[in-house]
Amino acid sequence: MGMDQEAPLVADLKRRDLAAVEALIATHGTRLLRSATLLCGNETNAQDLVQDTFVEALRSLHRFRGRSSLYTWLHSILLNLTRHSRRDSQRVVYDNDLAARESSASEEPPCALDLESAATELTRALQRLSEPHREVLVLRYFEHMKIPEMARHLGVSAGTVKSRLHYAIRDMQKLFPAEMNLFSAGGTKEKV
Amino acid sequence: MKCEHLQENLYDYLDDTLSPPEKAAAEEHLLACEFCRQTVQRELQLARTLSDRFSQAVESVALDANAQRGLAIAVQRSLQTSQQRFSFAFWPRLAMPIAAAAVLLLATIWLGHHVVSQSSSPSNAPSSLVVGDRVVPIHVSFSVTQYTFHKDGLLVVDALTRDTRSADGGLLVKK
Repeated sequence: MGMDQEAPLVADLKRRDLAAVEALIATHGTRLLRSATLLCGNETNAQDLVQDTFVEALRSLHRFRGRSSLYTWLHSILLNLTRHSRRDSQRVVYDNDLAARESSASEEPPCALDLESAATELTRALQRLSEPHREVLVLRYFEHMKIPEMARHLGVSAGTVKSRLHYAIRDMQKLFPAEMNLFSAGGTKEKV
Repeated sequence: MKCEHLQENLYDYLDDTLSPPEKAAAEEHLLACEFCRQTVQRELQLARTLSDRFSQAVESVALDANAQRGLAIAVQRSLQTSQQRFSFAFWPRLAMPIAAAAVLLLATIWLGHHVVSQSSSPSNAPSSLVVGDRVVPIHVSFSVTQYTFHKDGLLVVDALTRDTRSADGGLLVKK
């Protein structure tokens, strides 16, 4: 949906019209939820984050100037909420033993080299990256953003985005099980 | 264009955000450089793979029609609750101070008016004075109360100040 096409929806949303809220969620809800799941690592937290994103977006809709698409604006709110949520959960729950157990469990090689486990392992590896590295990978390879758009979205320079991407991919190559062979020239062997 | 220049601008080349001369230079370099061609191919392969895997990882995550409706209602309710919380928090806090200030103001106006009319009457008194009447000097002091408030974010900052004033006069006591 183009920015011009979004203008009537934005006007209806400013009136807090329930049908408009439903239309907004129908258009962007699933994509936002998927992105949130990749960013935070689990669907339950992602649902809460998406709900908070829509609440925050409607509350601050008067600040939406239409310079970006509605989805990009929603995603920037989601990104901020995810960062805060992670920091809050890190403050409340931190268990060294649990972290060690989870770490050793995730280092075990996967049993089946099928597409589903590759995707699961990849998502798990994503959660072990630092927040800036995880963000650039999700924005680049899930949201398909170009470098200038990522830079605006993250509030950093294009050079910083490129640097983060470089190190994020390097870290993924270290974290991702070698058996998956994901980053080799041949790619993943798919189960027939 | 040199190899390191192409490596630096690899994402810009793939995103097609290079200027036309830069893009032409990059393509010319790629025709001649096997190493850079492989780098471009590797990045394209990586992008396809990561993109596919991310999509596969979350393809089962979706909001069906019921979930969308439920979310819309929850969002609306959350917005209404926050508005109500704001209005409930704001007005009851103001109601009592405003009522108290109004009562004090009315009492002050009435008292002031009463004292002034009483104090002005002795000047007219001689015409109506009869033998045996007397004027008793009186001193009245009163307070003018001022209530101010302003909103600071979600907080209401209020202040109650008192300005004490006095008036002298005489009270005519008839025989």
